[in-house]
Amino acid sequence: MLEVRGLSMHFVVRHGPLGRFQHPDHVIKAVDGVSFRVDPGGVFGIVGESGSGKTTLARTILRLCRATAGSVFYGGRSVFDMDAVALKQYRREVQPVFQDADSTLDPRQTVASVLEEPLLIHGIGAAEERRRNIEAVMAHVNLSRALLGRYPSELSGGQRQRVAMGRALLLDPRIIIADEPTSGLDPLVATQLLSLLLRLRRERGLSLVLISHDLDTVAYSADRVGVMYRGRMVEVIGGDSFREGALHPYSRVLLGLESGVAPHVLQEGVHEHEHLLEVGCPYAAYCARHLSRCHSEVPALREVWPGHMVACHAVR
Amino acid sequence: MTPLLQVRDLHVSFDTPQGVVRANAGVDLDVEEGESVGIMGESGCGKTVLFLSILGLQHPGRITKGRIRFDGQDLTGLGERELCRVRGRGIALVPQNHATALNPAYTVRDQLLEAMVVRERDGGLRNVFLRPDRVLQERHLDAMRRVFGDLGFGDERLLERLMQSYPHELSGGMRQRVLIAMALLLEPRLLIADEPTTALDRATRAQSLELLRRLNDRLTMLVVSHDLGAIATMCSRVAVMYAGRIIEQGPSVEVLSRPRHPYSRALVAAQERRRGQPLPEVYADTSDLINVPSGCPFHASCPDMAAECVDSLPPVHSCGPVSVACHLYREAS
Repeated sequence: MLEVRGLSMHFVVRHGPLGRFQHPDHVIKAVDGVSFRVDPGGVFGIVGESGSGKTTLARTILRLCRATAGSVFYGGRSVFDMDAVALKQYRREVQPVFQDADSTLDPRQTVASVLEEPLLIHGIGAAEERRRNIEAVMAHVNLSRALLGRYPSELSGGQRQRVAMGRALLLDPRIIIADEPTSGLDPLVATQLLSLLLRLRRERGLSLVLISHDLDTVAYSADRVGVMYRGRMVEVIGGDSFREGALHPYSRVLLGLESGVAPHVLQEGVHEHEHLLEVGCPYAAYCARHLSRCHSEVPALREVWPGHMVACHAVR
Repeated sequence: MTPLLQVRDLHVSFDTPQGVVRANAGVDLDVEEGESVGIMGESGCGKTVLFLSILGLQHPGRITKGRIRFDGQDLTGLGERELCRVRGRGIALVPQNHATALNPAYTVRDQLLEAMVVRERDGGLRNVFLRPDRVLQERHLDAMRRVFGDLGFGDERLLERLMQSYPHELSGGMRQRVLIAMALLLEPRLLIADEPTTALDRATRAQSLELLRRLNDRLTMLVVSHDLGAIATMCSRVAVMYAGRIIEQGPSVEVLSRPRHPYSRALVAAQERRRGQPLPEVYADTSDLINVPSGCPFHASCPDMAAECVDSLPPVHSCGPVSVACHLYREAS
């Protein structure tokens, strides 16, 4: 349904004339050669620490940034070659729910007008029908109609997140790309939202791309899980075997299956974390099982088991 | 021995066009010196209002009733100047939103220095922007290096770079640590951490937890969090809040493994994820702090509701090491 092939998103960091003296311009490979597929009605989970490129990946799929290389296919069509009309339809059917609901809601719009906007943009229904649609969605996300006249600042964090999710559901999308939909919410609201998404998937055959660092939630709901590390997909595995069956050394540390230093991209300075990426496996420096090859050759993602792909030289 | 912090029957309300919001409706909480206490509960249950009131920052809310004693002093009666003396050296706060808590126009070094200068001046807000003399500044910088060393920044060069950074150049985890460092530099007697781990990824979360756990031995802490794992690692005691009240309180192992109040049970169960099994049923949120229902505020959603729950507010029963505000446990006490 949605297929991502060799997608890369590189950012060039340019310094001012003085900064250039100290640091040469360099490239940050936020997303680097990522491929995966989302099946109709499937849930693809993406995990990884902050800074691993999860959010940039989502934005690139939505064509919110211009990919450096690679392609995204939706229903057999290349998203990056779509004209304005096709793109509008694509963005109707593939809806994002962003991480930070607070900043995606206009502080000067009431909930009702936030929710009406997408319907107006896509020219759906007359006023009466729009109102019915909006009320139906509010009921879906468990918000009372009394909140329609409120402004985002008058809502709690959980309510705002539910409004954002309601907005995504209004257009009856076929895929929802949810970037940390439940982070920062209390466990009751988080569970409610997750069960809403999973119910929609059952009832309407909605597909989900679920980006999260909550491993429990991803392991619970995803059919397939992709583990990202420094912009690369290092492992793709079935959701049911993810918890115990992950093979990549980084995934195993992440899951707590093996002890090890959880390496920290962010502890290294802003200007440094590129050098390590240039040659070899980005994880080699921290890896307990690294071989000499790991320092010179980037491992490719290959199938070690039907449906289970790992990018590691040390895994046979 | 009297506890370091003693909150008694605290009521805080907010006047809104819709009516009076009773954000805290009779909170009793003790924190002993050297202890760390966790507070959990859903958003909107009054956790934030509770600790803002402790710091005297509840405005525009009003403390309508109750006392907050810290170190033998009643904070509710203090004026702004005296409160400034308590904030920082007495009680320091690690705020939740690391993205907005730091000033974007200052480097990390300058913000930390500022905090220390204010502390030096005994909370006085005057002349904050006058730089201290070199000797003093050197001493402050030494203290910073020590604190950051504790926080896992042993590397001199890395630390230097961090100090010169502006907040937007740092990741969430790093900003969080800068905020922790800022609070620690003030050498407070009580540290309040608001959701120290929610916005962090797994690896950073583990690091921050480890850090706070290590500090734990030396510090008195009040930790507000939804994260059961975080509470279990850090806190010896936990209090569960609902609709502006503490409804269950006890040793964290006891409360988290065998929650007694029906609401605590729902809260703990909601975090369960068992693959192949349906998600736990979550009760519909009915808490309304304006039109507070009669009796137990949780009765409308409670699976074990009885007639008396509608009529009367349950008093606190002690049930082994745990105290529970629920009619179910009357016999136990």
